[in-house]
This record gives sequence, C-alpha cells and structure tokens, in this order.
Amino acid sequence: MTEETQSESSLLLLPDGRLLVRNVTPELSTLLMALQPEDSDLARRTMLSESPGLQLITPSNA
Amino acid sequence: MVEAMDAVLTAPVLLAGGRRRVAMDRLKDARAALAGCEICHHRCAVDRLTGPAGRCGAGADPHVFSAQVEVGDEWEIIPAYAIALAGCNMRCAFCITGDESWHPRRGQRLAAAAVARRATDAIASSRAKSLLVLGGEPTVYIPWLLELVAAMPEDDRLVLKTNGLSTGPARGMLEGLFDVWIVDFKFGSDACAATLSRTPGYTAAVGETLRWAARHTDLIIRHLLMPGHVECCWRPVAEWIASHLPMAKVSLRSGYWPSWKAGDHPPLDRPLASAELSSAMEIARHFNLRLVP
Repeated sequence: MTEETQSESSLLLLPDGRLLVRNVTPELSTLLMALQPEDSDLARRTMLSESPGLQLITPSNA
Repeated sequence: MVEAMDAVLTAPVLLAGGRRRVAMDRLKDARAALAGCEICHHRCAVDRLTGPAGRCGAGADPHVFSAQVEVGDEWEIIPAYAIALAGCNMRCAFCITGDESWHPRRGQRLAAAAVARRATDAIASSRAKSLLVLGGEPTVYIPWLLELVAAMPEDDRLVLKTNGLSTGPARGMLEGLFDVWIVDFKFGSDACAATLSRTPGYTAAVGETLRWAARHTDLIIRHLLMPGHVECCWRPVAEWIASHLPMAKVSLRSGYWPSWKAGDHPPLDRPLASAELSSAMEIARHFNLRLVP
C-alpha cells in the first residue's frame, strides 16, 4: 500500500506537449502550477489543497 | 494543458440514530449476503466468506493499494483523502489501475478502523475535506465499507466512487451512508462494454444505479472520454442523462491515459485527440448538460 508519507503519482508527457497526471497530490499540484501558471483549473486545485509548497532538490541538499 | 485523471458533495445525510449506528446495524446482514454473493450485476451466487470467488475474485475484505490526499477529482470534494481498494467486478482493458483492479490481493490488508483513523486525521488537520473511497470497485466490499462508515466521525463528508454495477439490495445496504456517489458511466454501448470490459447488460445495470443514486444521494455522473468512442459511448451517455436525469451533475474527464491492455484495443492505445475533446464538448452543449469541474 502507498503510505501517505510515500505518496505516489504518475505523469505522462505527450509529444504534443500535453501532460497527463494521475493521483495529483497537493505537492504535485504546486509543482504543476509552477509549470503552467495560466491554468485556471490547476490554480483552483492548488488553492483548495493549501499545499505546503515545493521543496527544491539541489546538489547541496539532495 | 494539464488534465487530471481522476471525482464531489452535498446535503447532510439524516438517518435515525446516525449513520454510524445504522452502518453497524446493517453489518450482520451485509456479511451474510456474501455467502451467496449477488451484490453486483453479475449475481455469481458464490460464497465469498470462505475465500476469493466469483467474477471479481474477491474475498470478504479488501486490500488497500493507495491511500493519500489527492486533488485531481471534482472541485467539490477536493482535497480528498482517497483510498483505493483492490479488486473489481469489471475487466476494463484500458483500466488505469488494471493490475490492482484485476487482482484483489494487490496492496495491503487494512482494517477499516485503521483507514478511518488516517482519514479522520487528514480531515481534522484540514489536509482533506472529504474521504473518497474508490477502487477497483469498492461496492464489492460492503461489510468493510459499513465498518469504515461506522468508524468515521458522523459529520465528515464521505464520497463513494463506483462503477454502478451494484444491485438493489446492495444499494439498500449503503443507503444514507455516503454523502456523495460518483458513478462512472463508462460505456454508452452494450457492445463496447462487452468487448472492452466483459460486462454484458451494462447500460441497463448502470442506468438503474444512476436513477437510484439521483433519488438517494448527491450524484455526480462521471464519464471518461475514450479515443474513438465519442460517438458510440459519450453521445448515448449524454443523451441518456439529458433524457433521464437532466439536472444531474456531469463530470466529463478528458485525461484518458493509454494503459494496461489498451494496446490490444486500438484506438484505445492512444490519448484522446484534441478534435475528439472538442466534439465531446459540443455534444455536452447540444444536450445542455450540467458539467462540473
């Protein structure tokens, strides 16, 4: 089973640029929002989720 | 464009004694019903109390293969603490969770009370505003669902996502317990349902559940647009809704994701084309459907 601390989502990037997303968690919605800030549906989902925000993985903290 | 694959809310459920009490009161009968299981459209009449049996191949209690807060469903219910139960009574070739849906032992056995604790925590901490139970097909596990409801706070919002193949007695055991029913109206054609999901007599069975759900709960009808099936499936689904439940909320999903055995059934081996989405939206407008995001 997927524990909440090990959430699981999937993304499928299509050749035409569309991005399909399965099991969108609040954190993932925030990430997607950064990619597509003009997406109003996604903005609503992100707003409703009160996501804690992104944690950027960099060489120094990876 | 980002498209979410995945389910929303409503008037308070009022049952004498509260739904927790009602759920417990129904538990004994619900478990007994599995001894000659006819809780779904297939009416296998097998004993699922002694082990996995029947078209679904499920025993009495489910395995849980996913449990997390999600925001991909309908706006009304998100964020939802979504729990997915392995096992299903359909065999959809394109199922996004094909392995878990076709194999009821995937995931982990979890007591309903343990799942309820997690969901209650998520809701109490405002990470979720509803509990969403999905599958697979959750209604093949009615006793477990009753235990789950009995373990949840009386006022938490409970959402059931189902393929609509439950029989009248099964629906009766669930009546009044879930605030929202999201019913997946997958096929508008019995031929497509038989070929793609091995479910004969599909449209009549789902139609019965849809009419019941519209009378007994807050209903959202969901349809996943499938490539190559806009005219044979979506158009008749839209026409049926307009004719029978014109005020129903309709969630039209455009994020079809080719998976599982979809490659054996072209054109299900490709994503939805933009022209197909445009055509589907035109159909929705033509029938004046009440689309919800």
